[in-house]
Amino acid sequence: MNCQVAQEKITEGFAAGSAVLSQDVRTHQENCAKCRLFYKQETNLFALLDAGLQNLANQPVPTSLLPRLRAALEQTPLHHTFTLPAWSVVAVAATTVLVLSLSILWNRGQRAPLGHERAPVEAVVSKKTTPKSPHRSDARTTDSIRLATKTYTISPRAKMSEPVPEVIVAGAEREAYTRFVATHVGDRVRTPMTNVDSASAGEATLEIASLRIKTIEVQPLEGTEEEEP
Amino acid sequence: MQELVLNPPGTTLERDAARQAETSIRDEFEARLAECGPLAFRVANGVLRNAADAEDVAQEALLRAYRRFRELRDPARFKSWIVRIAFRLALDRWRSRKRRDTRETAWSSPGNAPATPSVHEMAEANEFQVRLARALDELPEKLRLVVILSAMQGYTLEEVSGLLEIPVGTVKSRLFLARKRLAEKLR
Repeated sequence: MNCQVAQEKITEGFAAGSAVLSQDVRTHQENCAKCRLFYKQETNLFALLDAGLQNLANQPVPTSLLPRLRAALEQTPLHHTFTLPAWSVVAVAATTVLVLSLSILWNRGQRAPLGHERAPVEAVVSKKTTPKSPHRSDARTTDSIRLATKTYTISPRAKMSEPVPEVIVAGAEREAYTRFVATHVGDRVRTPMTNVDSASAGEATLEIASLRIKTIEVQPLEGTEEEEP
Repeated sequence: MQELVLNPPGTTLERDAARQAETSIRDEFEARLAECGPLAFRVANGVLRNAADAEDVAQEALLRAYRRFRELRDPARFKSWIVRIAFRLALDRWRSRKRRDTRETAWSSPGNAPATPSVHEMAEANEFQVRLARALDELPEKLRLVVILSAMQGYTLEEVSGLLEIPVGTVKSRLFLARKRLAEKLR
């Protein structure tokens, strides 16, 4: 056994609270003056350590402590309050966030089919605002009529369960149709205007039942560029 | 003719019952105070090494325990509960004191620094005790609490293990580690 191992064993023995050395350490110590000195030093060190710790841990308790504690207890009311633990607040907050996010996702999921049904109408409207046809005036005319026709044909037949498509109709148009429906209920609505020949678009005569429309003038909106045919 | 009296909630009867319950809890708590007050003080003093601060911490710990005394399911655990509360509070105070000291040391100008202890005061202070206190501060919390409780008079290792609610073997191994580290620092 060398000195390093012997000294480690001596320290560990003292740290474990036992000053009794093992046989091999004792044998080594008998022949090694350095380790004997180390043993003495460790004995002193741990004696001081124990004394110091006991001094620290056993400080006299102030006589004022207990009267002070009793006075503090007298002033402290023991309420029957229900206090929530800290984790419950976090749990409630997390649940709220979860429920909110789920409800948002659920609402989005339900809105998706509506948007799908609205698409054709929106397509018509967008066609009206941004015509791609070379004969824009015709397109506008037919689009507006198509919009109105759609309103007339779909609305009465619409079932409660079916979603009614939204159609943007100007106030004047709506009034005209109300009059039209009132006077020509039962008349068959002819809609050849959707297939109006583009060549005769300038002076097209559109016929809706007995309603005759002559000379439709369609002018481009201000600020819009005319497309080349 | 019989008179019908309706007692709304929170009447004298209920209030009396609540007061009686409170009195019984207070009596039960005060019976433990004589033993647990000094225990809380010693634990706090072992960390803070300042009697005034330790007294404050002991009071705070006991008041906290008193407010939640009703929630304590097992009365046998009261002492270990007090020890833990007092140790936590003492550590909090010790840390804040340490931060404050560091901040003041870093920012204060030499003119505002506290006067260095005189030669006489230095001689009075036990150098070893000061070194031991510093070494103790550097120990991990778990080891420190075991050392403090084991050094208290009247507490065996079995009692310490009961206070900390850990096995005796764990107490022994922690004490061994703590003493070894302290010896290394004090050597």
